[in-house]
Amino acid sequence: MTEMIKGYNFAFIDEYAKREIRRKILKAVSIPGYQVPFGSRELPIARGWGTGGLQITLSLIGKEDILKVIDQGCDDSVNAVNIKRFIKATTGISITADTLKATIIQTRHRIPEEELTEAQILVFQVPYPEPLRLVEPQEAQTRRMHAEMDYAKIWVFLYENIVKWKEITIGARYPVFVNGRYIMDPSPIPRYDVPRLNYARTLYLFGAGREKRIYAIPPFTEVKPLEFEDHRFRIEDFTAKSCALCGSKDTFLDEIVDGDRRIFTCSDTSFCKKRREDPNIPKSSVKK
Amino acid sequence: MRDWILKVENLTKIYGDGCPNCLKSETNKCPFCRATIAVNSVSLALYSGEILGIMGESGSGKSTLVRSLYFDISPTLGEAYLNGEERNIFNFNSQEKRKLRNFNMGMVYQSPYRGLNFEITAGGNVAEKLLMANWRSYSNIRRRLIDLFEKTELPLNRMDDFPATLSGGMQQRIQIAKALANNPEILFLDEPTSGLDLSVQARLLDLIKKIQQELKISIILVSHDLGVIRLLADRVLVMREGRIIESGLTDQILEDPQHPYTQLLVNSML
Repeated sequence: MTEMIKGYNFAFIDEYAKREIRRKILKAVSIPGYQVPFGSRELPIARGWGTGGLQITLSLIGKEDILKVIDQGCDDSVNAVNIKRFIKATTGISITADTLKATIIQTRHRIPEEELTEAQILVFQVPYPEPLRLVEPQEAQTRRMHAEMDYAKIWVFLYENIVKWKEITIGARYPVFVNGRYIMDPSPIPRYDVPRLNYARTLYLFGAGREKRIYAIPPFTEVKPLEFEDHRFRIEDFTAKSCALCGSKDTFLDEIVDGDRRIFTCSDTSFCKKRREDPNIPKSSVKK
Repeated sequence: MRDWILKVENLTKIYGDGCPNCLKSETNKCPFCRATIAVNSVSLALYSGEILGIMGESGSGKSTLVRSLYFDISPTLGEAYLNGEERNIFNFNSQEKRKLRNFNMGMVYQSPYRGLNFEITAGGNVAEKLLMANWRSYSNIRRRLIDLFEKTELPLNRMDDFPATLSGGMQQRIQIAKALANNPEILFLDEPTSGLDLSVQARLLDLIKKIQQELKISIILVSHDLGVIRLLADRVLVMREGRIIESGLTDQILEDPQHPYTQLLVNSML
């Protein structure tokens, strides 16, 4: 166990700040998909490097919690490692790479492959919380549009996509309709993860530090990707491809170009490791 | 007598702080507080299936009047009612107003830059109205667009072009197609043919007449062009300095104007 830094409050930010953030989280959970403004604090990490997610994690974490942090599915990339070291140094709590053991998971741009449970919280780092920014540059206007459910502009964008390309060309950050009320930016998760937001068992919290917004999808909430009846939303196609390391055919794959060779590997590294030990391990351990 | 569909009572729009004397002012500039009274205590009724012309010179308040009714401008005083709706529509909340704009009303502005979004295609502009009304089938939207483009005599092969690449007359037709998309009861035409050349103007006027007869839609037509008014309007209101100074059947007003200003206006026709 690394040594804890002395002279700072538990989990770095002060208790008043935590209380504000928790209150904003409660509001966000009460109004699924609504962006709640909050006072984003200064942290020893630059804004835009996961400070929104980090502030949520820091204000929720307790001494008993077990933390996992991933960056695009990977436990060992720089962003994830730095955040883990920072939280460890200011709280002394234990860190894990195992999705099923963690109580709080902070993530950048992925949902772990293994199905999460009611006992866990998934915290997303969000670069751009406003899904309507694509079609409307003014914040005052996008707020009005959300308030009035005036979503025609983003639908026109999708319509024009089909006119031009015969399909909707949004890759990551696919806009979703939450609880029949708000259009929400699910953060830049791949399309593959979007259906997994719908009626999930886990509380999903989204934090945008630079943009100072918190929003949430409570467990068992309807989350629908925007689609036309005759141009359905579809996920990335991995037909006939499998992970070069563990052989999985049912996971989200990253493409790696190595000279002339193009291989695919699981984006979720900890689950890939589990599959290598036991190829038959299921993605869902939840009894249905 | 046919049923009224839109009734306006004492609509007033004052730019500036205003004072108790504003409404008594003879001109549209209040002599006491220097506020501009763009529209001064205007009352009117629009009956179903008619074309009501509003004529008057520049600055007489014609456009302010229709833009207030379309909620582009919020009036200072006054009430407006739709048939079957007891509340003053100016007191609706913004969501209800937007709904009225989308479903009950259509608008064609003089300048296509005001009525169209030049960042999206011609078809996209019209489709926006359908998408507002929760159309969620791409092929149905395309079918309805073809229908509207045919009705407004727009070439179908220009549907996916940007408005800036189309002629002025076509841009006005897109505005009309957009205004008609959700089959509104009321259409506001704010100088729809000004700035177009005569042959294009004539064809557009034919189109408006045809649409009005086919769809039995009620229209408020604002124009300073007496020829347009004569051709289209059943009844006419003459505005000056923000007030209605004369009203009546089109023929009656144009052939036998009573008010000295209307006489001047009719006589100055080329």
